[in-house]
Amino acid sequence: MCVFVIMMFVFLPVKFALSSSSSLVMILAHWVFVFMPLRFLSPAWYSICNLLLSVIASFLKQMMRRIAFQKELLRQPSLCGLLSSKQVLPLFFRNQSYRTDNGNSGRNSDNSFESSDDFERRLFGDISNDEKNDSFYRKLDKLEKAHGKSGIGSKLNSDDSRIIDGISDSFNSLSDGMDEKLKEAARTFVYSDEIHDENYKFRPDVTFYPGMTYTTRDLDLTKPGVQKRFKRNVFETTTQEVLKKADFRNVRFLSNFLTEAGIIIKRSQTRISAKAQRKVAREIKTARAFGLMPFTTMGTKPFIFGRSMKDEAEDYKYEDNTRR
Amino acid sequence: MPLYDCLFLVKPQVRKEALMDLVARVAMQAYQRNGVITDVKSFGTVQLGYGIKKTDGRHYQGQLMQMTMMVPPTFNQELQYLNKEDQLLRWLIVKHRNAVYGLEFINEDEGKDELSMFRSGSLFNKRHNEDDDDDDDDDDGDEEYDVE
Repeated sequence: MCVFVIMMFVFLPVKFALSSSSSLVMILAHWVFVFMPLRFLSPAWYSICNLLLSVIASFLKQMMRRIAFQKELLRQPSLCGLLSSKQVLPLFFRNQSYRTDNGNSGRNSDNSFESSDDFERRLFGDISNDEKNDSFYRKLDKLEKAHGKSGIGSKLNSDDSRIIDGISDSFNSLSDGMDEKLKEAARTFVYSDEIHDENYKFRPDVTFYPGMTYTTRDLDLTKPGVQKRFKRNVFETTTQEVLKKADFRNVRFLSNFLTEAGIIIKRSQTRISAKAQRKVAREIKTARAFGLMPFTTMGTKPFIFGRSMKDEAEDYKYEDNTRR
Repeated sequence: MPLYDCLFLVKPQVRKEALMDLVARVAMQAYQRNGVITDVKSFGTVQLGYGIKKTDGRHYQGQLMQMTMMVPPTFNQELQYLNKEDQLLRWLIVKHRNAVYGLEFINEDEGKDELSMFRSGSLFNKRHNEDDDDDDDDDDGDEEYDVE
């Protein structure tokens, strides 16, 4: 932060010199900051300094943006043509003079600005007298249209291009009926009964599985769908838990360490210590010998704790129902 | 004398009286060896991992009983006659350990430890208070019937 403050002290005069718009107050404030030793900055002073600096910074930013905008305008030849009209030109000359004047006295700047109403009128044109008083944007519009139309017209016959050029003079974007079309489009909302379709999907590019969650971004159809990896409820355990709970009588716990086929899950998947894994394997084997757990369930249904391995007739019954 | 857990997996058709007879016979043997029965648990009917084939067909269920006892190490040899027991599917004698497995049928995670501690603790307290082994045995019997 201190470094930032110092940087501001160093660069502020330079910026002021560049933009040549430093007012008396700002110079004063700047000198106060420079001569104020940093170590005596109390929190209150510090906050005040920060506030002042931020105000100055925002002012500077505004200034720079305006200058950049003017430069941009001056660079474009087509716009220069526009600017040569007597209404628009004074603005930029005024601004230029404002910039040069401000180096000496910033106070006059307020008078050189026109009021916001005037500015608006100049840009968008008066509503009362439409065509006579050409606004800045209307001119811009016309210029652009003439450029575009002539570009198309050059490919067509010369007569057509002349006709189009003729149209473009009296043609106005406000009277081409596009306005009504846009309003119509904004008012109407086309909907269908696709929701009642059997395989309707709100988001066809993403498959949601039961138990998955979605964010508000997933519901935004304007953005592309991101297929998420669905993490199933995988059994996770710790070494401590295993060492505490692993017992051949605790079939509910041990059944988590069996695959669907009844094979003991290896240690790289269980992520427990070798000792714990040995214990688990030993207990599972004891339980198998005692009949509480299966050696293998290959070819039969998977072993689930608390469910009989016998009721195969019922299982097949369900399958039959689905087939029919 | 070490503490052993003796487990019996009995056929599901076997009546409770017959099951009690079987367990009581083993317990009597333990007493004859100056052993101590510290706990008797019934796990009720459990589902098996595979069908255990006996002469009367495959059994997919079994009644599981556990008896914790303090007997001499040679007691295992005397129980070998259980292999010929036709109502028994499996039997097993292992050294007792302080594993948490009891009552997992009732509540899975929390409270299991508390409950099992409460049960075994009450038994142990009784045992410590009453030095007589015979009284202890009676207590065990009551417990057994309560569970079932």
